[in-house]
Amino acid sequence: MDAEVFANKLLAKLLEAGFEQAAVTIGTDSLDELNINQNQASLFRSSEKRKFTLIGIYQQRLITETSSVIEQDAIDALIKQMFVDVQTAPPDPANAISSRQQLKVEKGPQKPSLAVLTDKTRELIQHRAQKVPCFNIKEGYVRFKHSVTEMLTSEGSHLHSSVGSYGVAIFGCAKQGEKNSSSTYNSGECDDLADKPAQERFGLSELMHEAQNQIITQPIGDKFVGEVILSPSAAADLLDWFLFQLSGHCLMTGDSVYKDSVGELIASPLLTISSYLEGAGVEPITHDGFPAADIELVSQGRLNYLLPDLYSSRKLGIEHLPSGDAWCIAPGETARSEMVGSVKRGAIVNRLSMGDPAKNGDFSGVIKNSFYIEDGQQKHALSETMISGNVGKMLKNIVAVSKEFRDTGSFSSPWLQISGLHFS
Amino acid sequence: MMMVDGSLTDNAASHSVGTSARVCRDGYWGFASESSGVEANSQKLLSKANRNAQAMSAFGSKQPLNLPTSHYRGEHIFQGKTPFTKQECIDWLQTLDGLCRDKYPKLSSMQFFLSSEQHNKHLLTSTDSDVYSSVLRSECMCIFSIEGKDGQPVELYDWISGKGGIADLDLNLSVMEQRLDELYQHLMAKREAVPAVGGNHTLIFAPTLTGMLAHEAMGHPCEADIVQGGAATCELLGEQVASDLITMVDFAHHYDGLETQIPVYADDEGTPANDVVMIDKGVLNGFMHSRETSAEMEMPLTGNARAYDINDEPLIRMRNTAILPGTDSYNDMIEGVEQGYLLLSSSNGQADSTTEFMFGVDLGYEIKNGKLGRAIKDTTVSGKAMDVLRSVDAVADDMQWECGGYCGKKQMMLVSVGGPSLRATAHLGGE
Repeated sequence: MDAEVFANKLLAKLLEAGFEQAAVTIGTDSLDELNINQNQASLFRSSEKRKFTLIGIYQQRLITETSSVIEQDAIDALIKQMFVDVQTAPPDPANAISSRQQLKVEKGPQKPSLAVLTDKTRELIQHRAQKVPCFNIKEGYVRFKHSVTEMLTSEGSHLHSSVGSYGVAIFGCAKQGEKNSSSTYNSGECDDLADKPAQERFGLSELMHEAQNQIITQPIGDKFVGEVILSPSAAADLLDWFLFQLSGHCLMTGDSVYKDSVGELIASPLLTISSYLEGAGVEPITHDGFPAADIELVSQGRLNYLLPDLYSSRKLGIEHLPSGDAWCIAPGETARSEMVGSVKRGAIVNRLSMGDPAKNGDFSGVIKNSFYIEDGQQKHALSETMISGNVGKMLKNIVAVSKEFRDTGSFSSPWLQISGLHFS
Repeated sequence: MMMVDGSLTDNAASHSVGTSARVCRDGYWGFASESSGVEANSQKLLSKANRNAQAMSAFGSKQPLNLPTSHYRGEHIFQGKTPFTKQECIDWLQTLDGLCRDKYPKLSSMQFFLSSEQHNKHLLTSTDSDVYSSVLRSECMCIFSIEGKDGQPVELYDWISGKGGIADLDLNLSVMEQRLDELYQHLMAKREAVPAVGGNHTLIFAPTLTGMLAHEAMGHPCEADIVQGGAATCELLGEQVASDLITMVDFAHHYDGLETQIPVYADDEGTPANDVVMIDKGVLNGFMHSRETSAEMEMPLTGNARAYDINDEPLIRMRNTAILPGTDSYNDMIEGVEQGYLLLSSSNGQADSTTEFMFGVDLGYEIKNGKLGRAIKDTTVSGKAMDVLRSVDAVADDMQWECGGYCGKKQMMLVSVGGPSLRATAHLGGE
């Protein structure tokens, strides 16, 4: 059945059951994926996943159900039970449904090319075998995914997106004799795979080549306070904490260290963060049924917005900002080589292995796939080395932003040079 | 369901049904899956999976996989208490919220989370396996926040997990009151916490951290696909990799006469599941296998190939991984530490092919001259698994299992971890 027809039918059933307001989302995700296992093509996967999500509000009480079962009787029983269950929830005037939102978007390739998937998988396997034979691709994939979302609400919202993208990922380590490097991985999404070799995307070739130099490692030796140059994937860990701090959940618990910081300098003037709706594979619809806003979240270190969803904005009485899940840190003007040259003592950090930072931003983590820097020179790879600090302070202590950047679809970022980290 | 400061912020359920088919042909795998559970789809999906395997011939001819055959026929469904209704769950959340509001007025925020997850699978294989299995796991999390001395938030949580539905967890009010009192006391101590001193220390791992140590530090490096991928364990079978106080096992479905938290009687290839003794009194003894790695490494089948979702092919995954208890007393272990730390609660962890592991620590205390001191701020513990396990000089006689959260390795997976308190030397992050 056509998704829009099916959504309308479900919406009518929710309202018939007694709900005062309702929303229906139909999602269809399809995937064609070639898997690499231990350096060889191993598996070809095709999958199609359909689900629908029903939201109903009755007397300010809200309930959500998601299901993949499309048999008529099962749907009728589900909606009937939803209406019984919603009456057990406490009323909350903050519960609401998206109203009067309209969007129709088609983005990226809409159909896969099996020939491209095969060619790019072969290319990746051959590059490893010929150029970096000591690297073992333990797992990898070349894939095409396509997501169609149809959302209708009783309040007049109708959003439709159809987003396709190609993706490549590898996970593995380099090995020589009995020694091996730390495990390392990178992945990303793009609109077109055919225009350049697979290994030239998302830093995959660099990752494999660098792993060769990470087989022989040394501990840091002593404790000191120094600088780090965070790769884009390590920078993503900082951004995760920062975005959570701005989220509706964190604002509601009162734990956000930025709850009163809109308009203030919360980071180095070198830092600008914007939404990245044009990123490959990025769906421009938020989970609460709004077109994602295209915003500059941080402008030269100044915080412009908090990111409450519809519920938390109504709960807290602050402006709703429908934000997506894709972000871009603006590149700077410093070359990566200049960054290394300016570090007295520190490390190039390609991966942070750590627990979630504390609510106040304190963290400590093991630095992986990383290299020691002394007097502006990149030295040996590191093992058993931790850094500790505070993520909020790190954002303020950014001393340089690289002009090179890496775009992985939902996240585009340069390398960030940051001072004041404790090494041990 | 989630309640944040009295507001029900999440009142959701999800139900997904589907079918998947995987075939092995001329050395390659083909896989196809689709939502909905209609029987007629099985043949269509098998044909699709077969075509996918055939399409892999584009990568050249390959030696056919000579997979070992074994089979299992059976039905294993957990029979627990009558499930909580939505009304009972909400009543319980509201009772807890009200109780904490009265008892702990200094808290800046309280969050309570209830979750239950059930996987029902019917597996048929060409090797004559026919298995119907059901895994059911529930979790309850209580999170307290308070404003620290510096005005910054300080947070701590208590996490209860177990086999079965929410009704099968021990959420009796008197039990919860005691747990929440302890949580509050620890939070007040953490409010005054000091940074750990970074570097190597004598550490006492509480059972929950020992379980994490078993899973992250040596569990992942003993998965045969990780071994094949170059993990440091590949050359060490038969070698002493830990103190002789350490025996570590991945249990299939029973431990000490009782069914485990995540019982696996046959894996998702239809292989009967057996216990895997990975470390026997300090000696590396065996790895966990799928049919493919078992054939390639010429080792016995273990039944560790598991798939999480209908879109997922079976991968080598742990089931119920534990370090076995010893004979030492927990109190004696603490008294024997001149200077070190007691680590009580962990967040997430990660393993590495080098066997260097880490996990976050969100509750710990200093130990000085055999006595507990101040709480420490959130930190990270890390080390080379074998160095840390070789340094173990005491293993307590307590034992605790948990099955909260997920193991992440390409796919998510439900697993349980277990262990006693133990004493070892490892690296703690700090200033």
